Amino acid sequence: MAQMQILNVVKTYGKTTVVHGISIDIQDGEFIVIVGPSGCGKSTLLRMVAGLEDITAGEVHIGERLVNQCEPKDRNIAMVFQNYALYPHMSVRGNMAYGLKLRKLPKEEITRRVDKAATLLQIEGLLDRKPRQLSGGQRQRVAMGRAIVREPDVFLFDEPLSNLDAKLRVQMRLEIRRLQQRLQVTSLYVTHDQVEAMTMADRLVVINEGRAEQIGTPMEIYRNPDTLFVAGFIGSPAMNFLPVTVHGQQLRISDNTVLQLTAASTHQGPAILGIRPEHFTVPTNHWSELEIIIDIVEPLGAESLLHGHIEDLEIVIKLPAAIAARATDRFTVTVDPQHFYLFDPNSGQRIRQ
Amino acid sequence: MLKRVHFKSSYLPYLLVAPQMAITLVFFFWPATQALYQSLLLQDAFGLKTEFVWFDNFKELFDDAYYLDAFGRTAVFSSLVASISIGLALFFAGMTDRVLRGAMAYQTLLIWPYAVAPAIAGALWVFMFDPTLGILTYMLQGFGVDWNYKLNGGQAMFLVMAASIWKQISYNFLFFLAAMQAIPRSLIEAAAIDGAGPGRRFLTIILPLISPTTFFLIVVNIVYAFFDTFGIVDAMTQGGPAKATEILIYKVYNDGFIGLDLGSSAAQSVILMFIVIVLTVIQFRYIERKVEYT
Repeated sequence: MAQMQILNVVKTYGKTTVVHGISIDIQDGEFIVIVGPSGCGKSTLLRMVAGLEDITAGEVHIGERLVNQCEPKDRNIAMVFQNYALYPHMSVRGNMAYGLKLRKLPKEEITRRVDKAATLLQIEGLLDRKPRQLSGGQRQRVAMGRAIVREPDVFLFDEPLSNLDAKLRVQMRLEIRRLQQRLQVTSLYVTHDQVEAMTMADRLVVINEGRAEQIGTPMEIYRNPDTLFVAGFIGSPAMNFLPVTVHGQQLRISDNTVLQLTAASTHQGPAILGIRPEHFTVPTNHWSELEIIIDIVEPLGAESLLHGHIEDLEIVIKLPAAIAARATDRFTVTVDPQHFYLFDPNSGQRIRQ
Repeated sequence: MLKRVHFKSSYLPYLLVAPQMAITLVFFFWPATQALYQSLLLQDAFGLKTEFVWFDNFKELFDDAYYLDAFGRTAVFSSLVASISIGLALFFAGMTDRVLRGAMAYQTLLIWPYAVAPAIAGALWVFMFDPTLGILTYMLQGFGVDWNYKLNGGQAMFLVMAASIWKQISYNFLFFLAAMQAIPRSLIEAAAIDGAGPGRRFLTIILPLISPTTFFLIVVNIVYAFFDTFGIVDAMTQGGPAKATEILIYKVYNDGFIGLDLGSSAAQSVILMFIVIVLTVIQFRYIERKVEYT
C-alpha cells in the first residue's frame, strides 16, 4: 500500500521521444487506468514505473521513495502481463511461490499465502497443474495470484485482458476490480479499450502521442472532455464531429442547417462541434432541429444506432428502440445545446463558454 | 501432431522419396552392409586369400589393450569436448542475449569458426602451437612453459581438444541463442520483477526452458567428438605422439588404410556404427519432450 507520484517523466529512444513529460499523482489504494491508442506510450510509461525501461528524465516515487535507480525487484511492485508470462516449466503453485522463495520467506508462510490467494481466485484445484493445461481465463487468474501473494505496494497491469474473448473479458474486468477494492492496493492499469477504462477506473489518464491529454474520473472526462482527442476517444459509439462556423449565437453547419446556442459564443469563426450519439432526441419546441438522412439502423436491443449523414458528414445517433422504430429515411432530431462541445479546429482544445 | 498429405495416385509419393532413398542406399546401406560383412573376414598380409572367421575380429579387439585404451581415450575426449564446448557456448549465448549494442557483430564473429573446415581448423592451430614456429609456443616459452606437443602426449591431447572445442562452439552457440530468443521477453521481465537477478533468472528460468536444446546438443556433440574430429586429429597429430591422440575414428583409419588390417578396421567401424545408432535412438525417444512457451 502506497501512494505514488509520477513527475514529468520523459522517455526517449535515440532521437525519438515517446513520452513527453507525464505527471500523475496517485492516492493510496487508487485504481488508475492509463488509456490511449496503440503506440501512444502508455505501456512505456508503465514499464518505466516497473523498472523495465530506464527513465530518461523525471521522477517516479513509490511511497516516500524515489525509485528511478532501483532494480525492478527493489520497487516492491507486481506486474500482470498481457501474455500472462507464466513460467511454463513450473506448476501453478510454483509460479505463485517463485517470488516468495526468492525473498526467502519461511516455507509455511509461502504455503499460507499461496493457498489464501488461490482461494480468493478460486483456483485451489489447479495448483498442481502446469500453465499449458489451463484455459486463458485460468492463466489470467494465476498471473493475478502471482501478483497478489507478493503483497506489493503497487499492482501494474499491462493490458491483461486483451488476450481473452469478449465474454470472459467482461467477467474478469469485474473480478479484477472487486479484488482490487478488497485488497486496497494502489493499481496502475494500461489498456487501449475505452470501455474497460471507463468501467474500471477511479481515475483515468488519457494519453495521446506521449502526452497526458486529460486526467480525471471517468464521468468527468466523459462529461467534460478537454480536447478533441479525449472527446473522440472516450465514449462509445464515438462522438460525432461537425465542422461549423460560429456567428454570434449561431452555429452554421451548412447553408440550410443552423443551430442556436443558448448565448453568444466568445469564439467566432470556424470551430468543430462535437455531439455524442446519445444526446440526440426527438424534436421538442425548444431547440433547433437537424434533418438527417438515415442509411442504416443497427438495433442493439434496448437501443438502436442510426447511421446517417447531413450532406456529406456522417452522423451516428443512439436512440431508445421504441423511438428509433419511428425513424424514416429523413429523420428530424434535436440536441440540447448544453450538450454541444465546441473545439478549436487548430489546437484541438475545448472552447468553453 | 502429425500432418498427413494424401495423394491420389499411388506412384507419386514413391517417386518423390526415391532420390533420398537412392542416396541412403548408396551411401549408407551399401557401405554399412559391406562393413558388417568385412568385419567377419580375415585377410592375409598380401591380400591373397580371405577367410570367414565369424566374430574373431571383435573378440580380438576386446582383448587388445591398445583398442581398450583408445576406447577410454575417446570416452574422455568426447565427454570433455562435448561438455566444455556446450558450457562455453551456453555462457556466450547467455551473454549475447543480454547485449544491446553490437549484438550482430558479436554474433557474427562467434559464428565464423563454424565455416572453417576441420582440417583447416587443425592446420590453423598447428601453426599457432608449432613447437618451433608457433607464435603461441613463443609466448608460452616466455611464461616458462616447455611446449612441444609433438613429444608430450598430454599437450597433444590438449591441443586437439582445444581445436575441436573451438570449432564446435559456434554451432552450439547458434542453437542456444535461438532457443533463448524463443523465450518470451515478458517471462524474463516477470522473473526480474519477482526478484530474480540475472544469474538466478538464468538458472531457474532460462536453463530449464532451453533444456530440450541442451539435450539435443549433448547428443550432437558426442557424435561430433566421435566422428567429425577426424580431420582435426589428422591435420594436427595423426594420432601421435605414441597414440596419445588416437581416438576410435582415427584408429579405424589407421588400422584399415595404413595398417591394412581390413577385418579389424571394419569391426571397429561396426562398433562405432552401433554407438551412433544407440545415440540416435536416445535422441529420438527423449528429444520430443518439447516445452511450450506460453
